[in-house]
Parts: sequence; C-alpha cells; structure tokens
Amino acid sequence: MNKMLFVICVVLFVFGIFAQPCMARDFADIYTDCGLGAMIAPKNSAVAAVTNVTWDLGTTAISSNISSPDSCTGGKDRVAAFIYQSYDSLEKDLASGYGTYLDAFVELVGSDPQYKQEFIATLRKDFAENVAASMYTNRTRYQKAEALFDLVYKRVGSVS
Amino acid sequence: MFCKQNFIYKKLRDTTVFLSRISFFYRIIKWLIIALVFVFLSESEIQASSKPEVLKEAEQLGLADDPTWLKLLHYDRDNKKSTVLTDSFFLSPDGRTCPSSELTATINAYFAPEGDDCDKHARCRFPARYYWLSHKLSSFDYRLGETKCQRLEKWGLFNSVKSVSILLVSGYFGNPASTFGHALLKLNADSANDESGLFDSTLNYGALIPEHENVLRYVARGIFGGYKAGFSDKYFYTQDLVYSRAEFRDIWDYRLVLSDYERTLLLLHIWEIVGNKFDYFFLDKNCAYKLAELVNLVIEEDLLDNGHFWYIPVELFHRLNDIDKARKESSGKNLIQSAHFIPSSQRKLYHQLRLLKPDEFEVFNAIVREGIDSLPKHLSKLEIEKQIFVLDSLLAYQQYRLVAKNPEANRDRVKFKDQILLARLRLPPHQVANIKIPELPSPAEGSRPMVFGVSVVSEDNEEKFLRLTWSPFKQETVGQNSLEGDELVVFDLAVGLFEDRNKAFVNKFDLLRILNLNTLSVKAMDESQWSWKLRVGMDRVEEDEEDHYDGVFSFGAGQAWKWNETVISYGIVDLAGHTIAPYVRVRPHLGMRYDFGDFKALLFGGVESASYDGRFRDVWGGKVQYQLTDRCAVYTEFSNENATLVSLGLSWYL
Repeated sequence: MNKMLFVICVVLFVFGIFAQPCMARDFADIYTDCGLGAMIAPKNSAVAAVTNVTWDLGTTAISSNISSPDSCTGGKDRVAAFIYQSYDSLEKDLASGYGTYLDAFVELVGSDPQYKQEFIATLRKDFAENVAASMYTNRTRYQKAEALFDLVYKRVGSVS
Repeated sequence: MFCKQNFIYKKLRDTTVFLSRISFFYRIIKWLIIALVFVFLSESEIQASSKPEVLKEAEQLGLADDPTWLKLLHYDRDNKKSTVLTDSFFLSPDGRTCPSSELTATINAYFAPEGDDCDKHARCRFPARYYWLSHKLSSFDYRLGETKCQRLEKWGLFNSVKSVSILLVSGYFGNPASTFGHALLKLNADSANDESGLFDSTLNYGALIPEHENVLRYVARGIFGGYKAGFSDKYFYTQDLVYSRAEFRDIWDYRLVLSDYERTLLLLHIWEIVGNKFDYFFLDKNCAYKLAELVNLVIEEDLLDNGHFWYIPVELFHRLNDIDKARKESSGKNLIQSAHFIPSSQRKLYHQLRLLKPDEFEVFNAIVREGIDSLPKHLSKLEIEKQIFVLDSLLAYQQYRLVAKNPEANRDRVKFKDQILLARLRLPPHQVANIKIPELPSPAEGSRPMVFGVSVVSEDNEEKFLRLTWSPFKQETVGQNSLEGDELVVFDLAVGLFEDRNKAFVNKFDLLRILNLNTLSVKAMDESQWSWKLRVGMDRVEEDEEDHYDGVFSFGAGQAWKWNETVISYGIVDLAGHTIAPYVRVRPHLGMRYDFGDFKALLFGGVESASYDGRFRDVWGGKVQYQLTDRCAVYTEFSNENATLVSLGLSWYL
C-alpha cells in the first residue's frame, strides 16, 4: 500500500512539474467550444453578443459561468469572450487610449502593469492599421474580434 | 482516502521505476513524498466526527425544522414543499417534501465513500449545507475549502468576494416585461486591478423562454405559469453591456453589510443552487422575489412580507430600506452599507456632449449633418486637443446611435463610425475628462408603488361624493418615486360613492398612463428631442343625470425643458380616440411640474377640439401633493376635463 502510494505521488509530482497547464487554442476554437457563436439574436448584435434574451423581471436566459465547460474558463478563453462580447466598448476605449474596458482588458491579458501605456500605444498602432483596412467596415463581429485577439497575443509577449 | 487514484498506477509505473534509478533525484522525491503524505494525513482528520454522533445531535437540536435549513432547501412559505424542481438537488428521494429525510441523507452522504469523480461528492455539491451544519453541531467537523473539490475551488468566490450588492435596474419602455425594472445580485471582489468591477460575478434569475416564442403565449405562460426558471452567474461586464450600454438603463447598487459567516454561507449556497430549475411566474415568482428569497438565507428579517398581489423589483429595495432603518433604530447597525448610482451610457454621453465648447459643438453638429466626407474640412478648424474632444464625442455618439438603432440596417452609419474611429486612433491618447454626473435618487428612496386613496370630490354644482382609488403601481409626476418628472401608472381605478343616493360608480379608470419627459437630451443633430405621453382608459361622463363611459386611447408628443432642479415644463399635442363624440380629438397643451421636495405640483392648460368644425374648448387642471410621511400624502386635484371638479384627499402607499 505504501509503495503504491509512493508511486502515485511520484507520478503526480513529475506531472505537476512538467505538464503544460493547457494547450494553446486560437480564437476559432474558443468561439466554437465555448458557445460564443450560439449567442445570436436577430435585432441587435451588441446585445446578441452578450445574451440572446433580455426580458426582465427574471426572464433572462440561463447561461452560467459555473456551468461553463472547464475548458472555457481559462485566461485565453476569458480574453476571447471579453473581446467578442464587449468589442464596441473596447473599440471606443482603444480610440482614446483610456477607459474601464481597456483597463480590464490590459489586466486580463496579463500585460505587465509597468509597461501598460507602452502596451496600449503599440496595440493602438496595430489596431489603427486594422481599422484602416478597406474591408474593416464589412467585417463581421467575429472577424473583428478574431483580429484583435490575434493582435493582442502577438504583442502581449513582446511588451510584457 | 477521499479520491481513488489507483487507476493511474499501472499506466505510469514504468516512468516511476525509471525515475527511481536516478538516485539523487530519488532522494529528493522521497522527502517530498514524506511531506506530501504528512499533509495528506492531516487532511484526513476532517473525518474525526462520527456519523451516529452527528445524526443524534442534529435530531436533538431539531435542525430539520430550522428556518435556515428550510431556506437552504428552498421550501415554500408554508414549509410544505421545496420549490426546486431538479431531482438532483435532493439527496433523499423524499427530500422535496420531507426536510428531516433530506437532513439525514445529507449527513449520511458526508460520510459516504468517495467515487472516481470527486466533484460529484455531496461535500463538493452542497458545501453550504455542511458549512451551516458545522456552525450548528459541535460534533460535526467540516472545513471550508475541501481541496478535492476542484471545480468549487476553481470557482473560488468564497475566497475572493469581499461584499455582496443587490442591483436595482431602472425600468425600460423598450420591452413591456422590463417596464418595472430588474434586480440582480453582484458579488464584489473589490479588486484593485478592476476598480469598475467588470469581472465581478453577478447572479441573475431568469426563465427559459423558447426561441421565437409567440407573444401571446409568452404573456400567458409568464403570468399563469408554464416556464421553468433558474439562477445563472455571469461577469458584471455582460450585465453592463446589456443594461447600461444597450438599453441605457440606470442602476443603483445597494451594498449589504454581511458578516464573514453570512457572506460565505450565501456564496456557497449560490454554488449549490445555480442551474437548478424552478417554476416561473412573472408577477410574484420573478427575479426580485427569488433574489429576496435567496438573500433571506442570511438576513433574519423577512424580505418577502411586503409583496401585495405582485412583487416588483422596487419592493425588495423598499424592504431593505425598512430593515436598515429598523436595525439602525434598534441596534445602531446597518443593513445597507451604501447605495451607489451607476448612470447609463446614454446619461454619460449626454453629459460628455455638454462639456463641448460652442465651437467644438458646432463642428460636432456640422460633421453629423454633412457626413463623414466633411470630417477633414471641419476638424481642421480646431486645434489638436479640440479635435480629440470632438472625435471622442462623435465616436461615443455614433456608437450610441448604432446600439439604439439596428446597426445591421445602417451600413453607412457603421462606415461613418469607423472613419471617426480611424481619425481618432491617428491622434494621441487622451483621457476623456472626468464627467461629474448628478446622482439620480433611487426609486426605492421615494414612496411605494401600490397606492390606496380616499378623497372628497365636488363636481360642478352637484353634491359632493366620496372617491376611493387604488393602483398596484403608481409612479406619478407629483409622487416621491417619480424619476425626473416621468409618470408610469398601471390599473388606476377610482370608484365614487354618493351617500344619499346609495350609489357606487366607477369614476375613472386608467389601464395605463405614461408621461415620458425627455429633459436630458442635448441638441445634437438627429438625436430625438421628443417627449411623449400615452393613456389607455375611460372617463365617466354624466349627462341628463345618467352615467356614460367614454373610452379613451390617447397619444401625444412634444418637447420638455428642465429649467432647474425645481421646474420642468412641457408642451405636448395629444391625438385621442374616444368612444363618445367627438370621436377624434386634438389637445395641444402646456404643463409645468414643480418639485420642492415633499411638496410637488403639476399644472396644465390648453385647448381641446370640441367638434369637427374647428371649435375648441379650454382644458385645464392640476394636482398638488404634500408628503406627510413615507407612507402618506395629502393632495388636492382640480380640472375641467369632463366636469369642473375639485377634490381633497389622502393617499396611502402600501
């Protein structure tokens, strides 16, 4: 019994050291796996990105972080969901370089607070190139969110 | 041992043997293992208490009938049956109707052997039950934070949440079901890195509505039953995006004073209850009611005892205020730590636009009027800092307009917005000035919505009669719960009684009465300046000593002006359909609303078409009200609308 326990603990220890916390996933995987694509409502894409029903007095559709798949609560998944759902607010904050959504975003992606302004300046520059593209207006919310997601993970390592 | 992990033994044995051959590494690992085993054995101490001992003590203390136990099981108010419909919420087959069976099963389950999936063990699924039992039973040894409950640990709110708030969301005319507001719970982490709390968790109660539900079916099932409902948790930013940034609704954040034990118990119970199903009823088993029921787990005073006929969100906040006041008087302690106003994005935008200087505002309007091609021409008139102000305002305004309208239907506006975005990104970052927005008093700081009134009415030269009025929801322009002079009244019935004629009659009935005074808007191009009013009801018209009833559907539009904090005026033209000739009437009129705190008045005057040949008659009237106490007001009313009448009465807010 002691030997078996010993072996188990060794294995757990080794795996604890060497195992990767999770596999890197891109925006498309997260979008599909975590149900972001299911949040579609016919009238208003800003609302649709958050919830498909907005009736009050308690008639909001049930969707829970507790019940979310474990694979959808990690760092990158939260970033993907945040970008997709709050894209308009992020867009506005990126434009001015300030704002509560941008602050939360910088914190979420794990940028070093010491280099926050540098990170934002770089992101603004890259984002401006995205917006300057002739097709920007015709892109879907998904495409815009994916592009910003890629920008962030291109820059977050180089700055922080 | 709590978890069985033998299954990985064989599979990984070879790896272990290989490692054991590396002697130096082996010695290090050996000591680490000894340490791990020591920790492991320490944790096993939580099973020191014995099952018979715990069961016996629970029975002796009568815990099965304890109010907190019944609340943990969500028993209804007569304690006969749990309102939870999900079978897996109960550990005993008859747990839904027998709290003692459920208690026994809960204690038995605590001592049950573990399975392969630790998260499915009762200790991980029902931590609030065990946490509560550990505070009641001396023989029960339960420690919060079972390390084997991986999902609960990962959720981890019982560690990170510092306080709990209940949010009151203002009413919303964009959806009939949202007219009376909304309530939800916010779990504040008070993180220094997230000052606005965007990643705080919230708890919402909602029904499961099938997609493309027929409206009539929706209304019928909402009121009479047929939908299942439940609690869901989401980040606060998702609520902010919907309520504040898409529906432009103000929010009031009521932060509660809870002890560490109360806060932890509530959070652990949220873990237990999320995802379970309940029956949904729009009028009385709605978000506010279920939220009150949930929070009542840790608030001793009854939060549900002031629901009459229905339980709208503001009722919950009135009750919280009552308890807070009573606690302060009796023990000097608060229930409400603070009530904080969170303005809607529309309100923020209007205040941002008001900060523009005249030359900036002129450029702003010129660009909106002439389109995106005029952007370089007009912007070049301003220095860089002013360009930044204008572009920030334009971007916020265009985004607001896109959300308010249907963005998919207006590609040109999206293009307009994107061009502004690009122009702004090409200028340096600059923080939008800190906008000071006046706090709007919460509707719960005013009078209650249900009103009963008694008045004496003198009509023309006839004898006086007694008038009784009742409405389940009244936010009157002259009431203490009116927001910025607006009015929303539902089912307002007035019954008259003549003493000597021994006669009772319906004096007036309004199914719905709305006055929406748009005093906030700025004079921005293509932004609606309209105020409007609506009335669906009927009036009693006495002719030849006989009562006739005139059904009325009236809609009016016009402008409103807020002169200062005391005076609001408006000019509105009503177009009304009547069931008594003349069947179609036009009524242009002016109104003044005065607010002197406890004393409020509404006066109006104008003309109304009296025939189809262009003849008009004068119409005038008003109501003056003085608030005597939180629950009582005296008023006088006068008008010449259907007859010249004057009344003097008292209103009680129930």
